[in-house]
Amino acid sequence: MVQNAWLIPLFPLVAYLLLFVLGRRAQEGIVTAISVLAALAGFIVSLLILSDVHANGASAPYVFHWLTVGQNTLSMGFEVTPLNAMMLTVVTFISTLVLLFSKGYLHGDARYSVFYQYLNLFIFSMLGLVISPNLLQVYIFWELVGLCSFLLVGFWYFKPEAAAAAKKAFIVTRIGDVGLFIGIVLIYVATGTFEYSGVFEAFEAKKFAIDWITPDHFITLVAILMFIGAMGKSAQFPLHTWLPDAMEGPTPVSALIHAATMVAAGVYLVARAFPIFEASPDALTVIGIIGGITAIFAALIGLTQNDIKRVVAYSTVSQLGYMVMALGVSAYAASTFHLMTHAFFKALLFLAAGSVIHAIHHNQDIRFMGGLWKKLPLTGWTFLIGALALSGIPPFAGFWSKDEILLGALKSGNTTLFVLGLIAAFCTAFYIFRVFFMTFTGEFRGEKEVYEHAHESGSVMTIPLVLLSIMAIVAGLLNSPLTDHAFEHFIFGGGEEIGKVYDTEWWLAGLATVVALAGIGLSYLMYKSKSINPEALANGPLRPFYQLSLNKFYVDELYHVAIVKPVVWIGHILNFIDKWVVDGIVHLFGEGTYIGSLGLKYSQNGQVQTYGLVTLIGALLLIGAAMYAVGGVK
Amino acid sequence: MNGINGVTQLAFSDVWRVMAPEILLVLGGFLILVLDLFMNKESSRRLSPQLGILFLIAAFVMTIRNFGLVSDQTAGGTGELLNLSNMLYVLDDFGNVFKLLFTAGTALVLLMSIDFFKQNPEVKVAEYTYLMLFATTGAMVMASSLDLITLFVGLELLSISSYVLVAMRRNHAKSAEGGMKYLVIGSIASAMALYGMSFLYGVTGQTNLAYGAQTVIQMWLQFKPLLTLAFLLMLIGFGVKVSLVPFHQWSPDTYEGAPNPVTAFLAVVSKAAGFALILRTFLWGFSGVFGDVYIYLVILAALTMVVGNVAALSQKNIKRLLAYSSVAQAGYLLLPLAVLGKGKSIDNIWLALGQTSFYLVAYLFMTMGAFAVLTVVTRQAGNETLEAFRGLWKRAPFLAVSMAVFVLSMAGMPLTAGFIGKFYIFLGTINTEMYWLGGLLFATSAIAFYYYFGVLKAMFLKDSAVQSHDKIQVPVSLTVTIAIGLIGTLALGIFPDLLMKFLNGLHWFGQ
Repeated sequence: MVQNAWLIPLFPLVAYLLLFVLGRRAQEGIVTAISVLAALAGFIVSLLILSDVHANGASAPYVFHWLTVGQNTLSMGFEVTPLNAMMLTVVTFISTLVLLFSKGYLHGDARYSVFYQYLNLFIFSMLGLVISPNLLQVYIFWELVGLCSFLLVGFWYFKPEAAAAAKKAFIVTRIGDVGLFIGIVLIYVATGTFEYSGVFEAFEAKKFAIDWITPDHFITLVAILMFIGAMGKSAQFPLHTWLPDAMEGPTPVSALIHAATMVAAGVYLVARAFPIFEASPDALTVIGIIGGITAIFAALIGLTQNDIKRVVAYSTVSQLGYMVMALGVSAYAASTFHLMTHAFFKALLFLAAGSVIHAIHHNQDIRFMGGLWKKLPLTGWTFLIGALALSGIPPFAGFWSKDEILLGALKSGNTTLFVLGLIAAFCTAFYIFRVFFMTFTGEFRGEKEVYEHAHESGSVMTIPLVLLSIMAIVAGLLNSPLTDHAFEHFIFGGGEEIGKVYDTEWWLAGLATVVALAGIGLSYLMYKSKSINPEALANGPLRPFYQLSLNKFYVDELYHVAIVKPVVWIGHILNFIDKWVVDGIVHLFGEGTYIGSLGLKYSQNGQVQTYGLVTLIGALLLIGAAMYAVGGVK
Repeated sequence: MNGINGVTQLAFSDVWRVMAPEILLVLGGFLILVLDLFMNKESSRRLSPQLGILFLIAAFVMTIRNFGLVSDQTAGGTGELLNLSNMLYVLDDFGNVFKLLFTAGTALVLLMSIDFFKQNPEVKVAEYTYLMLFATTGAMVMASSLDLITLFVGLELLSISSYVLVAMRRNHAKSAEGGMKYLVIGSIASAMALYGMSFLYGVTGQTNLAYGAQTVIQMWLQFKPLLTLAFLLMLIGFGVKVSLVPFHQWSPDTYEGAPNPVTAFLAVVSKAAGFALILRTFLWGFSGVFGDVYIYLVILAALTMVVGNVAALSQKNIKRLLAYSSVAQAGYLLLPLAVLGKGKSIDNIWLALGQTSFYLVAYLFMTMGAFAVLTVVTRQAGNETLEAFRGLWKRAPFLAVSMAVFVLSMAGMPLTAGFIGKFYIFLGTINTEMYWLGGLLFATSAIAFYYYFGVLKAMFLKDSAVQSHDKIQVPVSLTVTIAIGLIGTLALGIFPDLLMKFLNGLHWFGQ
C-alpha cells in the first residue's frame, strides 16, 4: 500500500484542476461533491497506509531523478514513515470535514467555487509537504502552502483588514522562510544532499564538507536557522503576530490552515528532522525556551481578548508553543501526540465558533453574545467538548497529550519550563471557559432580532462538529496507560525510541487537572455566577496587567516603532539624497553639458544628457578605481 | 579552404554550412522588403509578419540541424571548430543555443506584434518586420563571431535596427523620446566598446579573439593597465546593452516608450545577445587572465542586483516596473560568469554557460508571457499603472492566473522556471565558494518578492476599477503567446531536467 502514497496529494490536485476547468460559475453542489470526495478518497488511502505502516513499519523513500546539477543529482519523490502516516491521516480527515462544513458556511458566496479551488490547492500542497523525502521538496511545498494561506486569508479582499492580514501573513512568514532556506542550503553545502537519510547520516558522523566552522557549531547554526523557518510558520514568539490577524480569513480556513495543518508544519519539520536538532543541545535549549515563552505569552494575551476567533487563535499560538517546548526538552512522542490531538480539538473549536458566528450574522465579539445554549444546543455541546479537551480535563484528548509535555519538561530538569507550562494551562482553562460562559450562558447582549432568528445550521455543518467531538474525546486514549501507550509504539515504528519517554506520573496528572479545574472555576465565578466582578478587576489593581494583555503586550506597536518606521525613514532619506543631492550634482554637470550642446535641445528634455553623464561618471569611477588597483596610475 | 596569401577562398557550401540561419533571415528580410514594393498595402500588412515568422521558424530548424553538425565535427576528432575565414566566424553549440533563443524570441515578438499592427494602422508593417529580422541576424553574428570587427558589425546591426523599432510609432511622443534616448546612450556605449576593442587590438595586434587570447596572456604583465582599460571599456559598452547598473538608466524610459512587442524584444532578444557577446568576448579573449579582471564583473553584478530591485520597489507604472526587474535579472545573469573568477575549471565554465542559458530560456518564457498579458490589460484599462490590474481575477481569470505565474516565476517561486533558474545560479555561487554573492542573490530576490507582490495583490485582492461586465477580449495571437509562456514556465519549473539534460550534453565551444 505504501507505494501508492503518491495518490493522496494527487486527489486534491485533480479536484483543483477539475474545479479550475469548470470555472467560477460551477454549481455549489458539484463543487462540494468533487472536493469532498477527493479528500475522502485521500483519507481512505491514508487509513490503509496507516495500517500498513502499523504492521510493517517505515519503508525506504520512493524517489525518481529530477535534475542534475554539476556532479550532484537531485531527486523528488515521497516517503512514508509512522510520523507522516499519522499526519496524512489527520490532514485528510480534517480536510474532508472542513470542505463539508464550508458548504454551509460559504453558501451563496459569489466566489464559492474559487474558495474550494484554493482549499484544494492548499490541501495538495500540505500533503506534498508531509510526504516529501528531502528538504528541497519540503521547501518547495513550504512556499506553496504559504501562498495558499495568503490567498485564503485575503479571500474576502474587500475588507481592508483581510487584505492587510494576508499581506502580513505572507511577509512575516517569509522572514522565517529566509532562515529555513539558508539552513537548507548550508546543509546541502556541507553534506551534498537534501535527502533526510543522507543528511542524518552526515549529522551523526559529524562529517561536513566545510571548514570555516567547527562541526558542533555548524550543527547548532543549521538547527537554529531551520527553527527560524518553523517559528515563522508555527507562529512562535516573536514571529507570532501574523496568526491572530490571519483570523480575517473565513472560519473554515482558520480551522484547517491556521489551527490543524499548516501552522503545525513548523512543528512537523522540527520533528521530522529531529536528528539534526538532537545533535545540538544548545539548539534544543533555544527551542525549549522559545516554545515556553510562546505558550505562556499567548495564553496571557488570550485572557482578555473579546473576539471569539482571536481567543481561539491565541490559544493555537499557545498550544503550538507547548509542542515546540516539548521538542526542546526532547519529548518527541509527547509533541507529535499533542500535534495530533490539538488538530482535532482545535479544528472543532474553530468550526464550533464558526457555527456561532454563522448563526448570529457574522458577529465575532463575545461581549455581544450570551445565552446561545438554548438556540444552538449542538454547537454548545461540541464547543464544550472542545473546551474541555483544550483545558486538559480527563478523559478528553488534550489531557493526555498536555500531561505528557509537562511530564517531559519536569523530568528533563527544566523546572522553569514546567512551571511556565502549568501557569499557561491555568490561563488556557480560564480563557476558553470565559468564552464558553460569555457565549452560551446568561442573557444575549446583542440585538434581540438576531437572537430570535439564531438557529442551528444544517447537517453539513453539524456532522463535522459531531465527528470532531468524538475524536476530541477519544483521541487522547491512544497514548494513555489504558492502551499501553499505543501511539508511542506506533510513532517509533517498533524501532528505537526517539527523544525521551517517561512513565506516567499520576500525581502530576492530578496536579494538572486541579490547575485546569481551578482555571475553569475562576472563570465560572467571574462570568457565570458573577461572584467576582471582572470589570472591577480590570479597572482596579490589575489595570496595568489588563491593559498589557488586552493590547497584546504592544508587540505590533513595538515592531512599528522599531522596524517599520526606521525603514520608512531610511527610504525617505535615500529618496531625499537621490532627489536633491545626486540629482543636484548631476544637474549641475548636466546644465553645463546642456548649454554646451544646444544642438541636442530637441530631445524633449535634459534627461538624456543626465543619463549619458551618469553612464560616464560610472565608467570613470570604475576605470579610475581599476587603474588605481592595477597600478596604472602612479 | 586554404587560400592564397592568407585570404581564404570561400565556397557557398562552406558558408551555408556555418551560416545557414543567418542567411535565411537576411533573405527573408530582403524578400519582405521587395514584396512590400510590389504588393498592395493591405496584403503586405497581412503577409509580412507571417512571412517573418516563417523565416524565423526556418532559421530555428536550421539551428537545430547545426547541433548535429557540431556533434559530427566533434566526433571527427580533429579538435577544430567548424569555421569560416580562419576562425572569423564559428559554428559551435554556444552560438546554436543563443540562436535558438533569438529565433524563438523574435518569432514570439512578431506573433505579439500582429495585434499591435491592428491597433496602430500608422505603423509600417513590412519595415518593422524586416528590421526585426535584421536585428535578429545581428544578434546571431554577436553569438557566433570570434573576430572583434564582425562582432562589432553584429552589435551595430542589432542596435541600429532597435533604435528605429523603438521609435516606430512616429506620431507618439513617448515612443520618439524613448528611441532618441536609446540612440544617444546606445551610441555612447558602442563608441566605448569600440574604443576598448581598439586598445585590445593595439596591444595584441589581432582582431581575432581565438588568437588574441594567447597574446593577451603574454602581454598581460607588461600592459596590464592598458589591457584592463580595454576590458573595462568593452564591459561598459556591453553593460549598457544589457543594462547593468550604473549604465541602465536608458532602459526604463525606453521600455516605457517603445511599443510592447519591441520592449519584449529589447528585454529578451537584445539582452540575450548582449550576454552572448559578453560571454564570447571575455571567456575567449580574456580567459587566460580572467582571475585578474573578474572582480569588475562581480562589482557590477552586485550593484545591478541591488539597485535594480530596490529601484523597482517604488514603481507604479507596470512597464517601468518590468524594466527595473529586467535590470535586476541582468545582475543575476552576470553572476555565473562573474563567479568563474574563482574556480575557473573547464567543468565550471560549462556549468556557468548552462546556468546562463537556462535562466535566459526561463526568462524568455516569463517575459514574453508577461508582456502579452500586459498588452491586453493596459489597453483595456487605458493606462499602464498597477491600477490597470485591479481585480483582473474577476474580469479575466486566465489572464490573472497567467500573470500570477509569470511574476511568481520572476520572483523565484518554486515550481516555476524562474525558481529553478535562480536556484541553479545560486548553486554556482556556492560551488565556487562566493557565498556572499549567493547571499546577495537571495536577499535581493526577497526584496523582489515585495514588488511582485504588489501586482498579485492588485489582481487578486482588490476590487476591479472597471465594471466587471467589461469582459476582456484577448486576440488569438496573444492567447497563443501567453499559452506558450505559461507552458514553458511551468514545464521548466516542474521538469527542469528536460532542458538541463540537453544543456549538460552540449559541446559548448566544440570541445
